Amino acid sequence: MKIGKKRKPFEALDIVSFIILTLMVIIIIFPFYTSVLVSFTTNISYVRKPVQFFPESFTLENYSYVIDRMNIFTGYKNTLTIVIIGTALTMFISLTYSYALAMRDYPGKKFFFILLLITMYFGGGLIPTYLLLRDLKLINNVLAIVFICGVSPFNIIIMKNGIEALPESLDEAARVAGANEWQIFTKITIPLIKPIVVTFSLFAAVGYWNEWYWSMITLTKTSVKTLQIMLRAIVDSTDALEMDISASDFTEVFNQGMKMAAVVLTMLPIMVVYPFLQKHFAAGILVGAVKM
Amino acid sequence: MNACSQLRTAKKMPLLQRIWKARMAYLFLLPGIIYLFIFKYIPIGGLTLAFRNFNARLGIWHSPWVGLTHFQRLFITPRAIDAIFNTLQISLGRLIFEFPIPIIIAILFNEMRGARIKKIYQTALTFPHFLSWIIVATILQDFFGTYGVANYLLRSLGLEGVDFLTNRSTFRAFVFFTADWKEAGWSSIIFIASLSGINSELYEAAAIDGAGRLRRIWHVTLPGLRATIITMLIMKVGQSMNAGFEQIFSIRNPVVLNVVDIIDTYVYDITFRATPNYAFSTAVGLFKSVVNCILLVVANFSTKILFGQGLFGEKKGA
Repeated sequence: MKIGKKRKPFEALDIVSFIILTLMVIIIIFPFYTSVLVSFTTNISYVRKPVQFFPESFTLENYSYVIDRMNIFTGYKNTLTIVIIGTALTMFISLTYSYALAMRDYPGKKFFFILLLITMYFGGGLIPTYLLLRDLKLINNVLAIVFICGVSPFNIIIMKNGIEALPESLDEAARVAGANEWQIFTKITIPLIKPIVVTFSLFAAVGYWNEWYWSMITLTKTSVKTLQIMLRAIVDSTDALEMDISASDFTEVFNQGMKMAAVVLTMLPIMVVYPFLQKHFAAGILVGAVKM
Repeated sequence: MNACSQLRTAKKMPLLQRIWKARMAYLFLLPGIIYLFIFKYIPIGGLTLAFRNFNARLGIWHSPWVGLTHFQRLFITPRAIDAIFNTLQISLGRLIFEFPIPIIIAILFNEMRGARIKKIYQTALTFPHFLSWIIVATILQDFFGTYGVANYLLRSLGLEGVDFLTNRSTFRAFVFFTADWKEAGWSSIIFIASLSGINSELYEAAAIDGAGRLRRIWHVTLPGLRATIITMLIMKVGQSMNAGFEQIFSIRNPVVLNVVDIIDTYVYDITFRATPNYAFSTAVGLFKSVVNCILLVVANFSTKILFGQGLFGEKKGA
C-alpha cells in the first residue's frame, strides 16, 4: 500500500468551494477583459454592437488618440518621477530610522521610537497638511506627493524587528575587521533583510503609482499632472459628454474606446508586473501579520 | 555575563559620554526625525486651527482663537449632520457586507484542492487591490452601466435591466459590492496566513471523532481564525468615521450624491469646490479623528469583556 500519495475522492465541499471561487475569479477577470476589448474596438463596430465578448475589429486609433492628443507621456513622466524619487526617499528614511532603532541601547532610543509610533495613530489630516504644503511652496510640485505619501511607521517598525532578529555576531565581526557603521548598514544589514526591502519597495512604488488623492488636490497645472489625474480628467470629460444630449453618438462612442485605452495605459505596468511579483506582495502582509 | 558587565559600565558612563558614543545612531535617525517633524508633527500642531478663525495673512499659527465655534456650527449644518449619519451607516454596512467576505474566501481556499490553481486564483483575486480606485471605478461603472455588459447579460437572460449607478435605493449595495470586488481577495490573505498556523492534528482529531468537514470548519477553522478576526474587527470599528473617501469619490455621481455623501467627501467639496473655510474643515477633520479614537477604545474594551481578547493579544494564562 502506498502511503501519503493516496488521492481522496472528491467530496461535495471540494466542488462547491471550487465553483464559488471560480465564479469570483470570473467576476473579477471579466470586466478587465471587456474593458481591454473596448480599447481595441473601432467606433463602427462599437456602434453596431456595444457589448462584445470576442474581438470583432481591431484598431490602435484609441491609443494613438490618447497618446498624441492627451499628451499622456507628460503623465507618465510625472508619475515615474514621483515613483522613483518617492520610493528612494521612503526607503532611505525607513531603513536608516529602523537601523538606528535596532541599535544597542542609547539615550533617547525609546523617545525616538515613540515619536514614530505616535504618527501611526495621530495625524494632522487634510487641511493642516495642505496648508503646510502651501507654506512650503510645494503646490504644483511633484515633490509634494513624494513627501506626503510613502513613509509608513508600521513598515519601519517591521523593518526594525527584522534587523533586530539578525544575528549580532555578523556586525560584531565586521566591526572587528574595521568596518564603520555606514559600511555595516549597506554591506551587511541591508543585504540580509533584502526580502523585506524588496517587498516594501514594491509597496512604496505601487502606492506612488496609484496615488491620486493628494495629486488631485495639489497638482492642478497641466504640466505636473500625473497619469491617474489625467485618467480622471478623461473619464470626467467623457462622462460629461455622455450626459450632454447635444453630443453626437459618434463622440460618445469614440470616447468610450479612448477612455478604456487610457485605463489600460494607466494600469499596464502593474498588470504586466503583478503576476510575477505576487509572492513578494503577499509576503509583505504576512510579515506584518506575524508581528501583530 | 559579558553583556551584563557591558551594560553596567554603560550605565555608569555620564550621559554626555553615552550620547557621544551613540552619535552614529543619531546620525542615522536624523533624516527620519526631520521628516517626521516637518510632515507629521507640524500638521498635528496645525490642528489648533480647528479652534481659530483662519486668516491667510496671519497664517495658521497666529490666527485668532475662537474656541468651539466651528464645532457648534458643525452640529447645526444639515449637510454635515447628514454626512455624519451616512458615514456611520455606510461603515456599519461595510462591517456586515464586506468584513465577512475575506473570511469566507479564506475558508473556501482552505477547502479547495490543487495548489497550482489556488495560486492562479489568488493572483486574480488579489490583483484589483493594486489598482487605484479611479481605474476600478472606471471599469466597473462601464461594466454595470445602463448599456454595459452586466445589463446586457441580464436582458439576454430575459430579465429586466437594473440601474446600478443611478438607483438611489440600491446604490449603497453597489458601493459594498465594488469594495468587495476590489479588496476582499487581498484582505483574505491575512486570514489564509492564520489558517496555515492551525495545527493539522486538530483536524485529524476532529475527523477521528467523526466530525464531517462542515463541523470541522465550525469547530477547528473558525476558532483558529478567532484572534485575527477580533483584531481586524477592532481596527475596522476604529475606522468607522472614514467610510472610504477614495472609493466613494470615484464612483459617486450627481444622482446618488446624497445617499453616499460621507464626512470626507463633504469636507473635500466644501474645501476645494467652494470658497474654503479652512478652520471649519479642520474642525470637521478633528471631530472625525476624535470619534474614531473613542470608537477604537470602546471596541477594544468591549471585545476584551466579551471574548477575553483585545487589540494587544489574548490575556495571559487563559
